[in-house]
Amino acid sequence: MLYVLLANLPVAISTFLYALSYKQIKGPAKWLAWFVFLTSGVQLLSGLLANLGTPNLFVLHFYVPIGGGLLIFFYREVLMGYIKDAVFFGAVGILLTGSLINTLFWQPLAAFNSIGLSVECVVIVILALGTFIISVNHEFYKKHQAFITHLNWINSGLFLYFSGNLLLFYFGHELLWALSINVKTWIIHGILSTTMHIAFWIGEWRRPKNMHFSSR
Amino acid sequence: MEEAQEYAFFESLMPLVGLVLIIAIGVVLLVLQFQKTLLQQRSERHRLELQHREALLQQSIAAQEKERQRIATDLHDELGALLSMSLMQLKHYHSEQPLQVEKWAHRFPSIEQHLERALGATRRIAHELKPPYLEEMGIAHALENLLNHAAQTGAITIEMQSLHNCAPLAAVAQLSLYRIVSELLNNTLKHAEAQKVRCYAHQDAAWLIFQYADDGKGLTIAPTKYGLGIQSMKSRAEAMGGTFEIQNGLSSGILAKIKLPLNNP
Repeated sequence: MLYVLLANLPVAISTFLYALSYKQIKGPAKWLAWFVFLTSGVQLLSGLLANLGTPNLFVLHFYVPIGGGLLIFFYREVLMGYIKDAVFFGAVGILLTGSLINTLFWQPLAAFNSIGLSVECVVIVILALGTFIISVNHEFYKKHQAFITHLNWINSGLFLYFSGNLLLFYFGHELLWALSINVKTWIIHGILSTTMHIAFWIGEWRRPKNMHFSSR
Repeated sequence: MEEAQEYAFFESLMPLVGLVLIIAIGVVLLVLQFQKTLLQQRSERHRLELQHREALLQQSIAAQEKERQRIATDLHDELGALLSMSLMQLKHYHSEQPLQVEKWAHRFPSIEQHLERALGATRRIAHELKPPYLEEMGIAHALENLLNHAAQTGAITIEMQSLHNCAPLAAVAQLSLYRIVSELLNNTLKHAEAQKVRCYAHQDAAWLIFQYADDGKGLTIAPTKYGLGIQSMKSRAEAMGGTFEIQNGLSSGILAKIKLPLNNP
């Protein structure tokens, strides 16, 4: 019950918030809104399939490359003009190819795609850490001063969620050696997800409403 | 058993080390890319600023030359013409009615002299403002004329070599070269106490190299304290996309090197 609440309620609130402000959003937050909508859709579909008693792990095989791609484009928009586009398209390429190869040769659709998730986590953690370092640069700060708080909250949420997930999915087995490993893993995942969505809410709340993020 | 568990746990940490390493390398590369872009943006901004400053300088020099030409034309055509007419009328009056102006007659030569001097000064100022021969006969003749004028004062001897090499310069660069040499010559005559001036021009690929040397006192001030004259010569050369360097000669005097782009098609 706790997991269901942790997993679904924050996503539902984020979806509601971003749906409300979708028309006013421009720039990177638009990609984030799409990520939230996608997450919401995936949660809904997974829940429905689980209720019907149908395996739902295959959904993750699609969610990981698409969600990761949306987040990469979020970072592309934030760092546009500072980092070459080729870096982001390269990251999307790595994520898509990695996920496809993983699904075809290592972890089929019916299996939990921990490798794909790990690749996604590594890519997003690199981008999040890079963004933290870049955002303290004087020139970047001066240009995006009004959006720094908004960006920092979202970036922090993404960093905590994906770095936590990386540890959880890859080393969960060793770290949670006690009983009910699976349940604990998903509860921790739920906590991480909630943390990320709370950061999204605050980030959206702190987004300057009468200004648009301009990366040019 | 416990040892085996510890070993297994340690082994399971190895991929984590690998992942952390990948993340660290990724972040470092991202930040390096950011710094590289920042540097590129800064150098591009700097280049644009320089370009803008150069364009302003060129516009300022062009406006200055235009104004000089206007003043020269006004002096020559209006004041010069009026003075010439006055002189002619005075001479005519003097020759036609010498008796009627008897009591003033002794003053006519003096008035005529003043008018002739005023006319001469007007022509000289007009010529200085608008270099004679430059448009009609080209830079080589204009420079020869300028240097010969200086030599005629008897204060200095001039040695000129290969000035015809300056001919392929664009009109605006020819004018700049003329002004720079004129300023150098002026400085030599006024301050250097020199006996001899040497001018030499040669072409090097797409550049004209003009060297000017005298055997005078040389520069007595530090480069950081150069006056307006040297700054102006430097600005003129730079506005043409060239350079201007001045230093003391090996034994005495100064050595100035003017490098201007040739007007290649």
